[in-house]
Amino acid sequence: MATRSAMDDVCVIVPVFNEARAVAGVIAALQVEFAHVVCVDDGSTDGSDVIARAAGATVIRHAINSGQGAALQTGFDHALRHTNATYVVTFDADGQHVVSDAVRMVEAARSSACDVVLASRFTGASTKMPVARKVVLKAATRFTQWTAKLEVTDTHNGLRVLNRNALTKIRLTMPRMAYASEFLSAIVPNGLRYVEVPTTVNYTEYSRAKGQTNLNAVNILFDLAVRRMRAI
Amino acid sequence: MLGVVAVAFPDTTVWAAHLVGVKRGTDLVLYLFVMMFLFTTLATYQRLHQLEKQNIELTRELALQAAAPSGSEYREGLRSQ
Repeated sequence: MATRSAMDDVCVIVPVFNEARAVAGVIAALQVEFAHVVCVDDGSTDGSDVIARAAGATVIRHAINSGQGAALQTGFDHALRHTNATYVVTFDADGQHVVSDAVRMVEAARSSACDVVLASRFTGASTKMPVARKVVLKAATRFTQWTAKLEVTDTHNGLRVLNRNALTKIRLTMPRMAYASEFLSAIVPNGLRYVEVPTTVNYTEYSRAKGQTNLNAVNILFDLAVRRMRAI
Repeated sequence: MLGVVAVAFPDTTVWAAHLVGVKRGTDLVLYLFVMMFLFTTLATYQRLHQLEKQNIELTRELALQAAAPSGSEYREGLRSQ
């Protein structure tokens, strides 16, 4: 397990909410490369936490469902408080990411001295992306490029790598899915360096059924607009 | 109190409406209700938002403490810095 020891300073955070069918497979795949897999169970009601623990992951369990952004922030706090991890990887539990992409991104973080490594499904080869999803994501990207002053091509990819410096500076507080934009908006003002790496997203039947609906983009815009107003 | 007065002496609302340049007393009551409704909605929204944030902080703290029973000394076996 040469890669496992090489990735010994990496803590993989997998936010989980009712992913009983997929989570064990995802953890098993991650453990081939990464020694430290932490599942943040966001109050699942289908026993995902038990399955994740049985699969060998460290499980942190939210007593009540608090949203994916909150789950990630809990993972970040765990990494800062309870581990010496140099890098943190965020990795979705529904099996849409590829483990080798995560490995490449950590290597990119090491070699580039960037604080944040982002994944892009538009410069990579994603399998069977629905057309409607493509349109919504492109629009979301335009919006973020405009508001966060960031030159990225994919703003809502669950695969990310952060170093400790980024962890101490980024704090996710937004409800529901708007945290993805919040995350990106925190990069430039905090003087964090970032790089984007092409990756693959698997649009399986399962991940599509579990994932976000395109209409949710409206909710995200509302949450962001409210935050804008509160900030003034 | 104001409601009791308005019901017992309906003419007082007309008098108050004329004071601020509104023709009918019922119109004034309607305007006041709309303003109160908007204000209450905003205040409730703010309060809910704040409670939600506190809730998340609490949930996080509980979860983190459960994950590290021996307190802040606990370290996973990661390579030291």
